[in-house]
Amino acid sequence: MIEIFSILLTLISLFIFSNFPLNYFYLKKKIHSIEYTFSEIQLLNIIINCNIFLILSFFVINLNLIFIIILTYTFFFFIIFKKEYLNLFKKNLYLNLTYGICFYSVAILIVKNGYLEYDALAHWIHKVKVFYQGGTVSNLKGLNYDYYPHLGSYLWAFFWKNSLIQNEYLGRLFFLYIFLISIFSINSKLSKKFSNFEKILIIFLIFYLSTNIYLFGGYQEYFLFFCFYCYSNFFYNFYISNKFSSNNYLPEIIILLTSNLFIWTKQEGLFYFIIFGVLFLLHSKRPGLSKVFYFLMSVGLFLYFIFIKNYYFGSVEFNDEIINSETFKNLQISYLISKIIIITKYFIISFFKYPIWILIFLSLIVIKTNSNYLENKNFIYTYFLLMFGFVYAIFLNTPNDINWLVPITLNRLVFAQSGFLIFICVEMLNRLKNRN
Amino acid sequence: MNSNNKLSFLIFFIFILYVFNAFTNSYIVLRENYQIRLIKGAGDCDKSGYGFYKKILHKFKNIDQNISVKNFNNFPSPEGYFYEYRKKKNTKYLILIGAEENELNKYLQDNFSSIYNEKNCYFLSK
Repeated sequence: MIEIFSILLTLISLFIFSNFPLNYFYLKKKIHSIEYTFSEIQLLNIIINCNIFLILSFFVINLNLIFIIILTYTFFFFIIFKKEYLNLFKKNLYLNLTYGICFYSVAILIVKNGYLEYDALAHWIHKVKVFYQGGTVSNLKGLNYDYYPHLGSYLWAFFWKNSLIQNEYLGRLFFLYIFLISIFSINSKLSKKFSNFEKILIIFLIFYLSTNIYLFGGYQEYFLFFCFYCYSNFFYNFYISNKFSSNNYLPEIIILLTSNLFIWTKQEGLFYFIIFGVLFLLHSKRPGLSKVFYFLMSVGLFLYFIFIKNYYFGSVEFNDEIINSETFKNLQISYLISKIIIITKYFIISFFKYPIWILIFLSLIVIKTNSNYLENKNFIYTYFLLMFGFVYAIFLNTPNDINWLVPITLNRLVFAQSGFLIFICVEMLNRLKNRN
Repeated sequence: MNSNNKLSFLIFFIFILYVFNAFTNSYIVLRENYQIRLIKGAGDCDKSGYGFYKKILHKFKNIDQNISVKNFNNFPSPEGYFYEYRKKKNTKYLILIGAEENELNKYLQDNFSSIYNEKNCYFLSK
């Protein structure tokens, strides 16, 4: 019973975490024309916190102490705005209940399994244990794949350490929480013509089509999915709708904080960081000075990453050399084509493994044939080109046997990337509903 | 909200719980403790060999270093479950999980001797 009760307490801890440092009701009181919804503030808080925790991970700081500070701060606001919180809870009662039931259903499955899946046991858990036992980034040196980014491990350790019974799996519920927060934030984007029940059904459908329980066994893909979703959400809000004045650099800061998480979550995140930089510079409706600011800040974050990796681990390493023997073998056209066929085959398999991709493609077809929505949304095409190009590039260049590597890794890359395109499904559903 | 809607939501909530097998999973969590579930999932002498490693730590309490593991089961080593960064990695002891006789012999010829074994899992010492 205590294990089930600790799931509930961890959910409360996670909710507290996502209400710090920005309080939605306080902001609403101070800034009457606030553009964000409650769930967007939660997404923003998680992004800010992840960046704060990234800095903390370099210092010896008691994880319980950090939690107590967050708890005290958040409770202060809970007490001040308890009526508003209660009203919001009542207003969205069924949505909240659905969230709670989805969270519990997957959490109890994670708890029941208890064990870690392959990559998690092979290397992520070592990093988590270092942080759980009070270590810092400097203590990661010498571990298997010590050069892998550590942010997800730090957050995992944080929620493990601040749980009731201190069982490892409670830390992993963080990944479930942020995944669900992303999906449930769709609620505010769905047309008002949808009934509450229809909205909840749509959210559940998207959640169900995106979920792979295996990845909750300690993989970092849900963290990446969250980053992709947030980037798309803020990119769309800030740049496509062109709401913000040119002198306001807040949009750039938020989007930089989001893309910074990519670098510190997984190795491929460095390439995602670059791709999103290109996407921003090409497609954002922001003045030149804002773009220069974004570019300089991106270069700064990139150099900071390089500096940290060099300082702690001696170099920036990847699993394989970027230029290796395979790079030159690809000059043989027949060899190159045979590899492209294998990669394409597993791309298609991955789309069926994560059926959210089928919904994304269907949505694109429906939108394309029925409206001119995509005409000024070239960033979607650029996204497809750069992301899929990146996946092809890494598998074409790997010196490992791709018949072994592609089936076990490509689907995870494809899964995380779907987070950016969820809004297309929402757009398609809204258009269908509004037409009726 | 009318009672029909409430009923729809109730059925929907039960459906979610059913889809993710939450009823059975809750029952299992209530019935079996974490360690038993971990041994079932991560293996005793099979899979990752979690149970065997735990048994070694229980039987040989004087070892206060991280013990290396060689897993022949095509699963990762269970070291991560027990890893303590303040402890050194031990080269004197070695755990073999799922080792066939010929694989064991290689280590025995390399100055290791078997201290304890169960099925095809071995605890070796130099």
